[in-house]
Amino acid sequence: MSGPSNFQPKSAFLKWTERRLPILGLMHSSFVAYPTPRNLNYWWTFGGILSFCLGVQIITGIVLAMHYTPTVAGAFDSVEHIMRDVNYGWLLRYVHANGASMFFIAVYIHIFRGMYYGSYKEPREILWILGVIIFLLMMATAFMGYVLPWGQMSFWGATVITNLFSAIPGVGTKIVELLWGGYSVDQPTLQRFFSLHYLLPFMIAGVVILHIWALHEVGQNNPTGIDVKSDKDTLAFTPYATAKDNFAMVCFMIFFAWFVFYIPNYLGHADNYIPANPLQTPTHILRDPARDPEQARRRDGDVRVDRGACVPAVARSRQDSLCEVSSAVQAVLLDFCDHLHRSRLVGREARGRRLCDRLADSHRVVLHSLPGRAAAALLLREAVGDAGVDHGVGPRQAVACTGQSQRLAVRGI
Amino acid sequence: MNGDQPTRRDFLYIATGAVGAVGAAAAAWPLIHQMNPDASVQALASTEVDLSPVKEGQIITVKWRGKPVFIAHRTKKEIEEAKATPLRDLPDPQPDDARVKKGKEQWLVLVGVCTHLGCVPLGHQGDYQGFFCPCHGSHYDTSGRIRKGPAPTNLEVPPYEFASDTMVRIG
Amino acid sequence: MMKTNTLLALGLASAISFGATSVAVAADAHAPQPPRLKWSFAGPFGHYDKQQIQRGFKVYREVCQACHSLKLVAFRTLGQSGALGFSEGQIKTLAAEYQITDGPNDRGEMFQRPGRPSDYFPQIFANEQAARATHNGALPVDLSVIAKARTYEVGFPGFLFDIVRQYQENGVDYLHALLTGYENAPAGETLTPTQFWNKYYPGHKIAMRPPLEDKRVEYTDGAPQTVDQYSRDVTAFLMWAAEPHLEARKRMGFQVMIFLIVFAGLAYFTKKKVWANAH
Repeated sequence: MSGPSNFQPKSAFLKWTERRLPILGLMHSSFVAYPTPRNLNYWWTFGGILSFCLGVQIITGIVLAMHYTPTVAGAFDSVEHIMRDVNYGWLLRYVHANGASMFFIAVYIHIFRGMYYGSYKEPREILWILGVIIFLLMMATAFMGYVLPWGQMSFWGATVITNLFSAIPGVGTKIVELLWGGYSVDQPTLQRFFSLHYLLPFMIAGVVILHIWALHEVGQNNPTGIDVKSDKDTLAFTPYATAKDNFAMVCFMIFFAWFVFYIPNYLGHADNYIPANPLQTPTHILRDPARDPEQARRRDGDVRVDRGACVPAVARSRQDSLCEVSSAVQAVLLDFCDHLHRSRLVGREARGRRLCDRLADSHRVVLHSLPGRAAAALLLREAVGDAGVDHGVGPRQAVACTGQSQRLAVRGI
Repeated sequence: MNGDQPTRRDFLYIATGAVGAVGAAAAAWPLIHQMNPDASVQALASTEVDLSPVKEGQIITVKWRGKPVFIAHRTKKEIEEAKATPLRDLPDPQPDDARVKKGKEQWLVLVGVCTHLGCVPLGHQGDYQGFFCPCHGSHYDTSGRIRKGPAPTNLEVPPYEFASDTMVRIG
Repeated sequence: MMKTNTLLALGLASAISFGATSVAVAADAHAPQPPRLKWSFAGPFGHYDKQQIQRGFKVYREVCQACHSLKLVAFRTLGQSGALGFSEGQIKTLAAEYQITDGPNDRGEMFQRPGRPSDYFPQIFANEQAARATHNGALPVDLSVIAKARTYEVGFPGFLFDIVRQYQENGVDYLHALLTGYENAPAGETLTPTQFWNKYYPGHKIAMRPPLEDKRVEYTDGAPQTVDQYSRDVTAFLMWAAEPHLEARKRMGFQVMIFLIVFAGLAYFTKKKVWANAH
């Protein structure tokens, strides 16, 4: 990958190996000599923590698969067998189940960090896209893993989420039957989910390698958002970043262990200790009528479970996800606009930059009080912040950005 | 870095590394130990067998710990043959009375797994009319002792005891 | 930088808590919250009170077992570490009191034999239909994991404090409340003859008749023979049945925490030393 590697194999054997397979040199340049910006803060340690999470999930998962049975009749009992009889089975299962949640907590922090500090911008677009692919794979893996214990939440989660595809006009039903391997979530569904749940983590691991490759090609972003210029701004990955990552990782493990050992079922759902019953939806899987009159009306009028309508405990409704998609599209558009704007700002002075950052900070304070709009808010902040302060930006750009902020204001963002 | 405290720094690095290594080793143990027989498997480690329907000269096969166990109701002739064999003729010398329970010499209980490479021997066959392994031609006598062929040791006698005259508990 | 970090942290905290809210159970709005009781197995050093779960087991055997199975629990586990403390002999005697279906025998028939320690508590009804048929359509559920399969809603911000308090006794608090929560139906509510009014049951109309009454089960260790005490004891027993390795888990948790805190300290000072060179 990148970075000046001064790796010199010492022993004759290593020299022999290195000439034929330069893996040690690769490791050295990637994880020892690789230059990291010296001003990285602890939010940058979550990449390492996520590698740890992936490793924990793969290892405990392989081990659990040695005892798990992917059959409708045996899945629930085999999980209980793991919990009761397998040596340290309770530990392995609780680490795996809570580890999934920890993985997502860590990945959200990682994503928020990327959005907050603009780590997705030029030249890190591919890095960001690979990260999004990893995130999608993670969601798919976690979803299928949640089905495996074959409790009520597993079953109805699988039913509702797969039914989302039935909304596709024309072919929806066909697609859902393809996913199920039948006319409902049943044995074929469970078995293929197990197979894919085993496969996808290795695909994640593959994309993670690409993600790290892309990262090391362009170098890390840093809290100032301005790329490092010389060796003086960087430190070697080992020992500096590794020592820091190590400390952060141990702290994360304390948080992790708290859940595993003391409140292992906190992040789970009690209903998943009820074996799956295809004839009975858990009562509360339907939305609270007090909060959702439409749901109540639907339930009063027609007891049939509405496909994919509302499952707050498992996923948001279709409308919500559509809303999210549209706000993501907006964010991408805004980002593109912002990117065009930023490319004009090369060569700005250090003084102006500091001022810009300070102003940006003040915007962060305001805009972060708007929950759920972090990405758009951040982009708005940067567009307005840069335009308002900077150095050599013509009035046209400033006007363009103001127009942007007005559009956002109209949408109530 | 001031150079007058290298020992303290080194100690810190070594201590951190050592604690980390201990932690990794401790974390590895559950991952390994989970492969050992679990509590439900261990609990099934004993089998009770009713011997009353087993006639003289008959060999029955029961399953114990997933393996075949032969219970042979030996004839007088078979017992005598087994007792008469001189120990010096045996590759794995062991007297017959060390392989059966005193007073219950007619009952021979053996793990039905050839000590060579794990095939299941056939009863009442081979040069000694004991057991014969078809895989690589190991001949066992009427006490289940190896007499001829590649197997290195006698057929294993599982731990067992007589719960009553006609009831044996294996394991 | 400090300020922005704090903000980022706050934003994340709110994001996480939002996620957790949507996961929380939207239980029946009318059911009151079960009172939180003191349990010997709560907290970081929690352990089962052997006397109590033995009493609870007695209540299960003399009352609940008439309808409710415990099919994931093996007799042998009653004697394992962190369990009821039964000896091997006691377990053998106990197991032999149950009839287990085994087979097929040489004639190809299934047969009944006395239980062995390796057996599991037998099913009480042949199948779900048989169970429903004898209970006016209601299903007496298996109790093996019931203490983890029941809960009640804890609103914001209580569920966040529960992380710090290590509150994981939602299930047992609910079960105790349910067993003690029978009362007369309020005016205006009509019950069928097979329905009973329970303060804590979601929807209140429960098909299980009040199972306990004072002095129904005889205690020999001087514990009060009251519905409240019976409920506590049987609930504690069911917690053991659902989570037999709780003691081992909490013990290991303490060791792991000590280890990680020491390791974190060392890692912190190592990091500091390393970064002291970065000038």
